[in-house]
Amino acid sequence: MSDDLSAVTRPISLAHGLPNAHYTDPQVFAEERDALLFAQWAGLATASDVPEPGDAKPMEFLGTPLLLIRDREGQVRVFHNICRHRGMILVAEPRRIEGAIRCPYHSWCYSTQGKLVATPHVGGPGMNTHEDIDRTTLGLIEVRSHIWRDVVFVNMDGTAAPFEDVHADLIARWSDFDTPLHHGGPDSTFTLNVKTNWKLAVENYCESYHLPWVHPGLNSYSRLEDHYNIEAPGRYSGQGSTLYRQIRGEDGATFPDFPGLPAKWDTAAEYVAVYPNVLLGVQRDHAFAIILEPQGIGETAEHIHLYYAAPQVDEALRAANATLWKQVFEEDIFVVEGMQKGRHAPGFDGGRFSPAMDGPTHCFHAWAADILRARRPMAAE
Amino acid sequence: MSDLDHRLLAAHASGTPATLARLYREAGDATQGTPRAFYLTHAFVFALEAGLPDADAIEADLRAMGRV
Repeated sequence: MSDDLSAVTRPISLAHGLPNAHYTDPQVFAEERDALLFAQWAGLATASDVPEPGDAKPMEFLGTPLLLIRDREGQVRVFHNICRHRGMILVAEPRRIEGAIRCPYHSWCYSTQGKLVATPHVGGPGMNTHEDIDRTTLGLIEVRSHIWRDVVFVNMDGTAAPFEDVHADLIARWSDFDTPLHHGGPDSTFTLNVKTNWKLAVENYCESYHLPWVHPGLNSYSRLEDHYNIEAPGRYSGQGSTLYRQIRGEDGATFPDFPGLPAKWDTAAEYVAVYPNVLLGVQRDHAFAIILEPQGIGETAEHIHLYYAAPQVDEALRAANATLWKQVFEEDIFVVEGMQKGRHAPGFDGGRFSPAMDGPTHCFHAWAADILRARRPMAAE
Repeated sequence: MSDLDHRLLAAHASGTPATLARLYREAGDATQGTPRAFYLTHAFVFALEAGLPDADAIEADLRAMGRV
């Protein structure tokens, strides 16, 4: 396996992209799962998925069964979705937990905060305690989680620095948008199942180079020259536009703006890939989050959520906006699937970057390569 | 099979924990000793699952029997 990552971290004018193995080799996929997803703050879901206390949603993240739940006090938590007794799956379908989470196997019960509250017959029939079963040590296994811009980020292996530290500069960069986000509801979320490695979705999202070719409809109001690169080595990259144009209804109506925005956002927008797998966009009147769910080396589910500045916005305009964005994101499918197929060509050397246009993509590759190289034994390359 | 057994089976089939809690408590109150602790244990579990305030009283009964 040729997997020379030193070429990836060279200056962009000399660099190559990540080698084919990073898109086709199951061993590298497992390595990246641990290094790039489990050891970082990865996007899992949105807090809007569990809007009310007791709402619980079973999920899987790269094979790990998880339970997203909003506890009695309203805090969103993520647990391993297993009983501490026999490892049985606790919650099989999304539902409201009215009281305790009861394991369907032997009925051990947990509070929505994860505390083990009942161990029926554990000491024999009708005896619900046993001296060797210490309930205080047998609560649900909680995964570190942090919510930002409604996205539930998880650090699966518990080793990452605090989210606020890792992403301090992006939080500051977008502090103008630190106002309540209102999810648009069921018609403002959709999932695209794409036959591609998750990284290719990141790479395509964070550069503007492809816009005039893949999204020709944008040329009329958001030209290539109106875009700039965003590069924060080791953390995030993306693109910005200086010519954002609001969507308007037939009567000229627009969505309300997020409150208190400086004038620079009147015609500006930014689109950032928050490494590893969350794609965010901010504009004066709406925002979006895309959570990339890696489902296999060449399978990714893109979960898209649209947000507004008010809990109720014009329904027809909201639907039109969702249709517009769905069309844009669907236009990207053939390229990310085409690149995935292309990674099976042995002659491909990772590709060369445009030093002028591909900075955000190179930034992402260098982030991945730096992390992987730091974890590999020296002799591995 | 008693009427209570039939009602318990029906409640298990419909999966309504509040009903199960009530029926198991009824079963527990009709007997003594370990069988009572067995039924009250089930009543307690389903009361917890349903979020019923009765859970506290059932737990108190079990505690009085040295079962929790």
